[in-house]
Order: sequence, then C-alpha cells, then structure tokens
Amino acid sequence: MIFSSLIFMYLFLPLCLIVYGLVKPLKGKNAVLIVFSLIFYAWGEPVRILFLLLSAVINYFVGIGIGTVKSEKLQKLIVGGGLVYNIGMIAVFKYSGFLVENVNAIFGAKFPVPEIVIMAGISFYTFQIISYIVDCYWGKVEPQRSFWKLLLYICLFPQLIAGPIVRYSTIAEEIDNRKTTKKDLSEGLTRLVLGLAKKVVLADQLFRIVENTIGKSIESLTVAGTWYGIIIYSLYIYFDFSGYSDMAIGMGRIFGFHFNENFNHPYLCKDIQEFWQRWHISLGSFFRDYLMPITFFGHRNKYFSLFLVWFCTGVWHGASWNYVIWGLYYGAFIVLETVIGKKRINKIPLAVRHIYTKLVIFIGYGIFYFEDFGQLGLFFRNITPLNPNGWSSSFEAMSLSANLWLIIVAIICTFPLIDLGKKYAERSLETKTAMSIAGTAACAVLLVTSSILMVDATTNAFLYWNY
Amino acid sequence: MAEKKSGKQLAAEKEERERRMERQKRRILAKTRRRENNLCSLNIAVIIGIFVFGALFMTFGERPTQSVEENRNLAECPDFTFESYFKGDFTKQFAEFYNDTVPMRSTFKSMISAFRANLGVKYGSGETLHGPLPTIETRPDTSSRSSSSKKPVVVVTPSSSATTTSSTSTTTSTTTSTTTTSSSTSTEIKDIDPNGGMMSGTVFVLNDGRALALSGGSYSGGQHYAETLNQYKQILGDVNVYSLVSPTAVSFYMPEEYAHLAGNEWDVIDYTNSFFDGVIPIDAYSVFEQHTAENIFMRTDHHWSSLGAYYAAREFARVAQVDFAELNDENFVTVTREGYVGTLYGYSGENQLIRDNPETFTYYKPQNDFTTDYYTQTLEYQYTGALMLDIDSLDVVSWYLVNICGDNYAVNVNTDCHNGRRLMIVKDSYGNALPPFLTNSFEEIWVVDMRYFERSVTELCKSEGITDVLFAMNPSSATGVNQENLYNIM
Repeated sequence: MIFSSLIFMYLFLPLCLIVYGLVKPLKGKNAVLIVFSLIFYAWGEPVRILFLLLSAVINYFVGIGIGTVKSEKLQKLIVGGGLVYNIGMIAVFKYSGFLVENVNAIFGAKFPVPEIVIMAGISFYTFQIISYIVDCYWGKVEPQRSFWKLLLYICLFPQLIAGPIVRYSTIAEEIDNRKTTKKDLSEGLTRLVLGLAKKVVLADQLFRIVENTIGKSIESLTVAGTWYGIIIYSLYIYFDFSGYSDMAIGMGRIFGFHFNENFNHPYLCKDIQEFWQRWHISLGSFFRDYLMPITFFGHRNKYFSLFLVWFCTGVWHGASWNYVIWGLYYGAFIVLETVIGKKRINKIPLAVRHIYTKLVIFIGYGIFYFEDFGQLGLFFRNITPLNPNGWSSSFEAMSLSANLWLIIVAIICTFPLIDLGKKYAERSLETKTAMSIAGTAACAVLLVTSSILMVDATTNAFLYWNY
Repeated sequence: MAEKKSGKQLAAEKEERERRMERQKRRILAKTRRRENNLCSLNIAVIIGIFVFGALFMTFGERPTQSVEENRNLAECPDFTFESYFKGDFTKQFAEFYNDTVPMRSTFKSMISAFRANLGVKYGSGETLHGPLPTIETRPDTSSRSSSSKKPVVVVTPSSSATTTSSTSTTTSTTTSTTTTSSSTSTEIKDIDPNGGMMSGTVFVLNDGRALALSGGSYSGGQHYAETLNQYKQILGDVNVYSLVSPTAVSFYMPEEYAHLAGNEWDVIDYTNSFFDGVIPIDAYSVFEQHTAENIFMRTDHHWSSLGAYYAAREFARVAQVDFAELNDENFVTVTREGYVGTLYGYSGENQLIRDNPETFTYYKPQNDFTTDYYTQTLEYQYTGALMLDIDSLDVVSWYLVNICGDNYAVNVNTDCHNGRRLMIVKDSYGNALPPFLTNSFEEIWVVDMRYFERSVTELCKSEGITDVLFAMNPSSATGVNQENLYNIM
C-alpha cells in the first residue's frame, strides 16, 4: 500500500485514526499502531511480515543481551552477531542476485542467480535496527525491555517503508509518553497534505516528462533534450522523496511522534557537502555517526572513511554498479572540497558555486538513473557537443511550453516558501490570521486536487519504495 | 506650578505602568493563543472534513463497473479466502478494485485530463505535449542500388463460371509506382487544417477535435517487409500478391508546421515498394488524396473509416481486375450511429477535446449472398456467423470491430460471385474493413490476422486454390512489429 493512493488516504488512514482516537490508554494506542502497521506492511505480500517480526525478535534479544551482560567482550560479540544478522538480511534480500551475477561474470562461474523479491523498506527499517543496537552498545540508549515497544519502533507505518531513518533515541521517550496536541494535529495534517501534493501534483506530473525524455530513448535526444530530461528528473526525485518524508513526518505528528527532518531545501546548496547536509539527512547522519567512527588496523583514516561512507551510500541505493559509481562520484567531490577547504570555497563567487553544485547534481542523477552502462554512456555523450542528434529540436521547446507552469511551480517549491510565509506571518496577529486562513484554503485545494489526481495515480509508487 | 511628585509616588506609578503593560502583554498573549487555537481548529476541521467526506464518498458512492472510454470492465471486488490473502492476491485485487472503481470516475478522469492540458502554455499555434514522439528515420540512400525489380502483371485466371465482365479496370497490367517521388507531399495538403492543434499523449489533436496518431513507419522495416512479401510471391508462383500499405490520417490532416512530428508515411511506402519483386503495390495514397474532404479516416480512432476502406478496396479491385460493387443503396445498407469516440481518446491520455467532439460512425453491409465461417488460429472450424457484428452489442469505443466481427484468427467468406477468383487477405486491424466491399469481387475470401494466425498462409493458399493474396495494413504495422509475424506464418 502506498501513501499516495486512495485506499490509503480514504480507507486505511481514516480507520486507523478513528480506532486510535477511540482507544484512550497509551498502551492501547501503541497496540493500535502496531496492528495497523503490520496490516500496512503485510498488504500485498503477507509473507514479508514474518521477516520483519523475526528481525524484531532477534534484535530485541540483542538489545536485552547488551544491557544484561557486563563483559565488554561478550557485549561486542552480541552486537557483532546482531550486525552480521542485520547486514546479512539486507545482503540476502537486496544484493544476493547482484553478487552472484558479478561472481559469475568475473570468474566465469555459472551459479544460479537467486530471484529474491526485494522486501519493501528493508534498507530503512534494518538501518533503524542497527542504530538501536549500536546505540545500546555505546550506552547512548537503554535497551528496550518491552518487545512490543521495540516492535512499535521498528514497524511504525509512517516511516516503515521509505524513511526517514528514525533513531530509537528520537522517539524512545514518545513511545512511553506522548500526547497529540491541537497544534500537533493541525501541523501534522498540513504536512501530510503538502507531502501528498508534492508527490501527486508535482512529482507524478514531472515524471510524465521524464518518461518522454530520458525515459524513452536516450539515443535520439539532443543536447538540450538530454539536459532538459535530467533537470526534470532532478526535480521529480526531490518532490517524490521529500513528499514521502513530509507525509511520514506529518503522520508521525498526528500520532504524537516528532521525527527529525529529512530534507532541507537541498537545491539551495552552495557546495556538495552542503547538499548532503540537506538531502536525505537521516541517511547521511546515519553513515556519519555509525560508519565514520570505524577504525581499521587500529586507527582511523579520514579519506578511507570517506571512501567507505560514499561507497556504502551508493550501494545502499541499489544493487547495481551505477549506484556504486554514483556514491563514489559524490565521494570524489566531497574529498575535493575537503582538500580545497571551506574558506577557499567560500571565496568563489556565489553564482559560480551554484552552477557548480547544480551541474554536479544533475550529472550525478544521470549516473543514478541509467542502470544500463550502454545507456549511461549515451547519456554522457548526449550532454556534450559530441551528441550526433544536434543541439536542440522543437521537442524541447514544445515540452517546456506545454509544462511551463508545472516546471515554474516546481522550481519555486524548491525554495523554503513555508518558512518565508511563517516569518512574514509573525509581523502581526492579523497577518498571521490571514496567512493561516490562506494556508488552510490552500491545503483544502491541494488535498482535493491530489485526491482527484490519485484516481489516475494508482501505479505511481514512490521511487524510494524499494530502497 | 505642578506639584513635584514624591519618589514613592513615582515608584508607584511606574509599578502601575509595568503592571498595566504586563496585563496587556498577557491579554495579547492570551488573544494570540486563542486565535492560534482557533486557527488550528479551523485547519483541522477543514482537512478532517475533506477526509471524512472523501471516505464517505468512497465508501457509499455508486461504484461504476465499466469504463466506456477505456473499453473495459473495471476491477471487481475479490472474494476473501485465506489462501488468496496469504498469497497477497486478495489485498492487491481489493486495492485495484477500490482505486479502479472510484464513484464518478469518468468525471474525475475528465478533470485530470483538463488539469494536465493546462500545465503549460500553448506552443506555436497551440500545441501541448504530454506524450512521446515517434522515432523518425531519414530515408536511406538507395541511389547506388540497381533496380532489378520486375514490373509485375496481374494474372487473371479465366473462369468458366464467371458471370460478369464489367471490370472497372481498363488496363491489363499494373506497374509498381516508384517513380513519382516528391518530398513535399505534405505541402500539397497543407491547407486542409491550418488551425494547428496540440500534442496529447501519443496523439496530435487538431483544434477541431480530430485526433491523429503519430505513426510513420521505418525504412529498414519497409525493406524487410518487402523482402518477406517477395518470398511469399516466390513460394506462391503465379498467385497475384498485392501490398496495400495504407497511409493513415496523419499523412493527410497534419498541419504542415507540425509535419515533422510524424514520419513521412508516403516516403516509407514508396521506399518499401521499391524493393518489391513481383509483388503489386496498391497505391492507396493517391486515391485518398482525392477524397480528403470526405470522412475517409475516423476522427477519434486510429483506423480508416469504412468509406476510406471502400476507396482502398475499389483501387485494389481495379488493379486486380475484378468486378466491384459501387457504394449505393442497391449494393449496401448504410448503418450510422452517433456519439463515436474511438481509441485515440485513450491514447491521448483522455484528451477532453476528443471526448467533447464525438463523431458519426458509419459502416456498410453488403447485400449480396454469402456465408461466413470462423476458424481458430490453428484452422479448426469454430462457427458460421454474420460477416458484420451487431453494432449495438459493442461498447462505443469498439465500434470499429463491427467489421468481420473484430480481429479474428481466420475467416472464410463464400460469396455468390462466381469468377474463379479466390482472395486471401493477410491483415492487421486495418484490413478488417475491406472484406465487406469485396464480397461482389471474389467468390471466396479468406482473411487471416497475421498477429494471431498460427498456420502457414502459403500452404493455406495452395490448399484453397487462392488466386490473389492481399497484404493489407498500416505502415507502422507493415514496417514494425508485425514483420516477424508475417515471416512466421509464411
């Protein structure tokens, strides 16, 4: 079940909210969330719920074990075992086919390639679990003694499938003690609607352009057509993923949870390091906090750590070499910027920095988009004067004008409009009132528009669904 | 002179002022909180209200079971079984049912169509692009190729039982028409609709509501098609083999300034014809050019109209030197239905202009005597039925299927014409509209659909004593995916 579907918005979610509202004790509310989360996850493929429950049980005992044993060696053994299990789960369910294919290709072997269906959200919830057991080992959080509370943390449906990767420490307190205030409910609902609109009104419509440009035949695109396609793809991927995160954060607020932000207007970045501080923040901070401190051969090496982080960032996104290249591509720019230094970078004119970052990001999405290396090669050819199809054609002009309002609105929406609006509203109570009423009216229009568009959006799953 | 205030009085006044300010601050704060609270309540009430209305609408609204526009039955609510649940089928099917059968679905689809049509501004004289464009090839240079093509001659088999001799043809041979090349075909027809239009889905929609599928065809595919037909001719020997690659509406009604969006069908057909060796091309293009003011193509469907098929059939009959029944009340019953919206509505992504400009659907039922037998793809007899379906039993979008009951595997028509000529039509859906106009021209007509037939056409031709084989299809079909099918059923 995806968030941007009528069945979720007008059947599942209302039912969940009604039952959640009717049950008064927090223990009962938690039970309601667990039941609905398991229904949500089992939708369309009930068998995968067994693996989720197995992970919850094993990691519950890993946490208890870490909290119980006194010997550091034993603790290390337990946390090590937990990590092997969790990483092994991802390896089996996400990368086994890829690994066998590569072994066959490199060594000429003929091992049968396993055809395992990727379990939705496995990368997200497994990373949450890893953060939990490592934090337990580091003593940052107390191991959860109640299995049901740990299960709630792992399977909470707003963030189960596509993040953000919520740390246990972020919501540990709220599992035991939370209250949805009127402000929470209002802001949560607003965030939910804005996220839905980002996905349905912007991302899905932008994707139609992507399909007709780089998604159709990269061979025949002109230079302008290829750039146009990849820029639209960059807008699409932002609204698709950040829309999902908004919906997750909004629903969390409705249930009284306060998840951390996952996006902070990434296209406003002035260097690549800043981009990754604004894009998929929960993933970047996960690697920063859990991967960077790893020591090899007794000491840490900054550049090796960076290489490892960006290799893993690439691999995390998918079982294909283009994702690895994509991760290392960003790693190379991060290293370059680290070597140059922040002070020197800041001396470069702002416009140049913006052009540099956008070029890196757009080309990066080309690497991200094309899993097939032949197609990727054509993409690199087509963005240069080597493109045999010429500089431009009437196609780009037609497509651009036909989608002009959509593209302009999309570009405007990459700016922090809500923050600016809130700041402006602080001028006076009257301004605040007027802005708030306008905001409510805008939400109503967006919700109705999104709902109508969802009649035709049943197959547009979120891009990050399988990550 | 004002009395000087004592220190105590001043302090008291200051205290009072501060108290007043504090009270005012508290009042403002309370007012702000109350206002914020009310604004939150309003926001919650509006959003929850929409959710409640939406949930009730989705739960109690009347769910449609069919989509006329998409010509399909909508998803049905699945029965719950534990087996289907644990397989995941139940939840998938239920979600499909819930989303597919939204109350007022058709209205919402129109609204979505209008929304998408207004995502941008008009380009040029009014173009909106949502769909992919066809890959347009340039004609390969064949100037160095020596032309070894023989000019084929129609072999007319004399028949003792032939009853009529009033052929519309006055010539005894037909030559391949590969000499008159002109790259400005569209120039000749440029003024048919100067008002421009819009791209929608894969379809170009003129401002008057006529929709044009952007086909074109492939030069290399055309060469393969021609070589395949040459092989048919080689195998069939004296049997006349004809190729009727019919241009589509885009060749005649596309405004010149947008002609580049589609391929040049005329040129692809011309190029294809240049590879024929013994195969006789039927020049439908020149015929259609003379009738562009008539409804020779459907305006909302990617097929030709029955009238267009009639002109093509007449040209074929002329080349094949057989009698041909003119289109009049004596030979045909004309059936018309209003409100036709064909396949291009769906291809266009439910373009509202097409939907708002339905057309009249007309077809013609031949009045001579004949029987029609239907066969499976492996040539097993199925049943004997009518040549034309009852149009009122079809969904609107499917009215074109009225001809020879749609895309059947193999159909055999035995007519009351006795001229010793037996025709085999190998076709895609375009060819469906031809047989009704040829029942007076051949004593037997076989029609096989190259997409579904699984037996050998040449063997069938030999076993049935076929005298003429007509390959009838559109350029995309002939030069595209169906080449392999043509080869497979040889």
